[in-house]
Amino acid sequence: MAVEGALLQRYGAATRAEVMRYLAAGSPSPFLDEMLAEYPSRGGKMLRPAICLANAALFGNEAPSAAVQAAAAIEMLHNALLIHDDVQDGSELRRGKPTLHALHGVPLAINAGDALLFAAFGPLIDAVSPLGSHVIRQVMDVTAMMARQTAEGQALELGWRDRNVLDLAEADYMRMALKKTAWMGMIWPAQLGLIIGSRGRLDPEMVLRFGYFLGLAFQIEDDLRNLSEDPGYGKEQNGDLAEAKRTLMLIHVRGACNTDERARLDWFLGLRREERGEADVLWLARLMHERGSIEHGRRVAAAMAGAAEHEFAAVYGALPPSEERTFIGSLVRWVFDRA
Amino acid sequence: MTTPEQHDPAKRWVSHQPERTGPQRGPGMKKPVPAEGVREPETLAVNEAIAETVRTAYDVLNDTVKQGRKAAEQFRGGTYNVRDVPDDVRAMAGNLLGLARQLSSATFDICEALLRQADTLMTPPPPGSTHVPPFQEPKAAPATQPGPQPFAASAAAPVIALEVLFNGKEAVRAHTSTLARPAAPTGAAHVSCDGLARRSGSAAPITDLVFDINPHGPGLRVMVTVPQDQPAGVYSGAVYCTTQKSPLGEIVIEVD
Repeated sequence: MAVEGALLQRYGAATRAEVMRYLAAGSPSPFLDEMLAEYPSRGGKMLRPAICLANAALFGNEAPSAAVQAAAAIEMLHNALLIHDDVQDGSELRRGKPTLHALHGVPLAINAGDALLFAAFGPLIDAVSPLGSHVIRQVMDVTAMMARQTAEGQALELGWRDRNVLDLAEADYMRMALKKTAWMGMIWPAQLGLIIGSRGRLDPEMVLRFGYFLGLAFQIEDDLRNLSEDPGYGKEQNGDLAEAKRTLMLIHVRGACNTDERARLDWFLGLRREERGEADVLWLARLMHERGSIEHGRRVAAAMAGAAEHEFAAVYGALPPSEERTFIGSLVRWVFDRA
Repeated sequence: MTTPEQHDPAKRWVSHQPERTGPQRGPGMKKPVPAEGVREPETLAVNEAIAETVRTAYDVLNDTVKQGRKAAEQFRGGTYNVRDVPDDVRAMAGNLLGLARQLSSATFDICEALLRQADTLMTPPPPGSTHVPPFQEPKAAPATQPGPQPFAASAAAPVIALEVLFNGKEAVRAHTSTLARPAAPTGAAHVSCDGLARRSGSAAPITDLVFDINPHGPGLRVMVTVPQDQPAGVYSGAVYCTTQKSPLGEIVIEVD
C-alpha cells in the first residue's frame, strides 16, 4: 500500500530510534525498564508519528529534529495509553503477544504505563524548548486538549458499556469516536507537526476537521472489521458484540429492529460479559446484517472518508505536490485498505 | 472491505428515525428506553440519509470544539494566567538582578574597608604575633535625614557654637556662645529650652526661644524674644535635646 511506502518506513525508523534513546537514558530500574520498552519494541504501524512528521515537513519544516522528538513523544504516549487500555478492557493480546498486564500483573503494568506517560514529556519538552514560549504555549494547549478529549472519550465508551446505556444516537457515537480515537490518533499528531514545522505561525485548528473525519472513518471501519471473518491481528470475530461495545451498527440495529428483537437485544446488553453466549452473539450479528446495520456502517464510513478527502483538499490542496502530501492524502484510502 | 457479505445487497436501504440526533450531554447514565413497539421505518434516499449523517458529524465536531474553547477560556480566567508567565519571569529576574547588585555593592564596601584597614598598617605584624591592630573607626556617614541638618560630628570639637539673637527689648546681652556637642547627631528642631528664669528676685521667665541652624556660620543660633517690660536682671535656663538626658549647657543673658 502506498501509505506503507518508504516515507512511513523512514519516519518509523527515526521515531523508533528516538524512543529507544529516551527510554535508555534513565538509570537501570528493575521491574520497570523492560516493561517500558515492551510495547514499543513490538513494532506498530508508527502512523501517528508519521502524521506528525509529514505535517511538520509540509508546514514549514523549520525544526526537523524537534519534529522527530515530538514524534517520539507521541509514540511513547500512545504506548502508555495502550497499556492502560489493555487493563481497562481486560485484553489478553497486544500486537500478537500477551498484554503487559497478562505478563507481569495489573499493578506493575499500570505503574509502567504511568512511567511511560510521564517519560513522554521528556522528548516533548526537549522538542519545544528551543522554539520559544509561543510554541511551547501552543503545544501545551493542544496536548492538554488532547488529554482531556481522550479521557472523555474513553469514559464515554466504558461508561456506556458498564452502565448499560441504551439510549444512544449516532451523534453520541461520533462524539465518542472524535474524542477517543480521532483526537489522539489523528488530530493531535497533525497539530504538533504543524506547530513545530511552522514555529507556531499557523493555527493548529487547520487540521482538526481532516483528522476528525479520518478518525471517524477509521473507527467505524475498525468496528466493521470486528464483525467480519477477518477481525484483525489478534482479535476475535464479533468480540465487540460479546463485549456489548456501543458501535454505530449496534445503535443502528437497536433502532431498526422490531419489538421482540429489541427486547432480546436489551436483555442481551444487560448481561455480564461472561453471561453472553455464543448463540446470542451470532443472533445479534445476523440481525445487524438483516436490518442493514452493516451496510449502514459501511456507507457512513465511506461518507466520513469523503468528508475527510474534502477537508484534505481544503487544507493540503494548495500545498505543492510532495511525498509528504501524498502520504497524508493516502491515509483516507489506507483506512479501508490497511492490513 | 473484509466484512462478509451475508445479506442481500439488493435489499432496499432503510434508515430509522432516531429519538435524538444530538449527543447526550449528561453523564450518559439515562435509564434504558423500554421496548415499546417498533417505529415504522422511514425510507430515505440514500444520499439524503448519509448527507444527514455527515451534517450531524460536522455538528458534533463544532459542538465539541466550542465546548473545548469554553473550557479553555474558563481555565485561562482562573487566578493565574499562564500567559502571565513571561512577565512574571521578567519581574523575578529583575528582582534577582537587584539583589545581586546589592550584594555586589556590599561586597565592594567590605573590600574597600579592608583595603583602608590594610593601608593603616605601617608594617606587617611579626611572624607568630597574636596582636592584630584594631579596625579603624568608620568615618561618619553623610546625613540622609531630611529637614534640619544635624550637628557636625567631630571628635576634635566637643562644643558647638551658639549665636544668641534678640527680638523685642533692645538692651539685652548674651553671656553664652557655646553648647556641649550632643552625643548623637541631632537636628536643631530637637534642641529646646523651657525658659530663662531671673537668677535673683522674682520676674516672669522668658519663654520664647527658637533654635535654628546658623546659616552664617557653624553651629546653632537661638532667637530670644524679650518683652519690652521685662525687668532688668540676669536670666538663665538649661538647654536640652531629645537624644540625651543630660543638658547641653546653659544660656545666660542679661537684661538692662
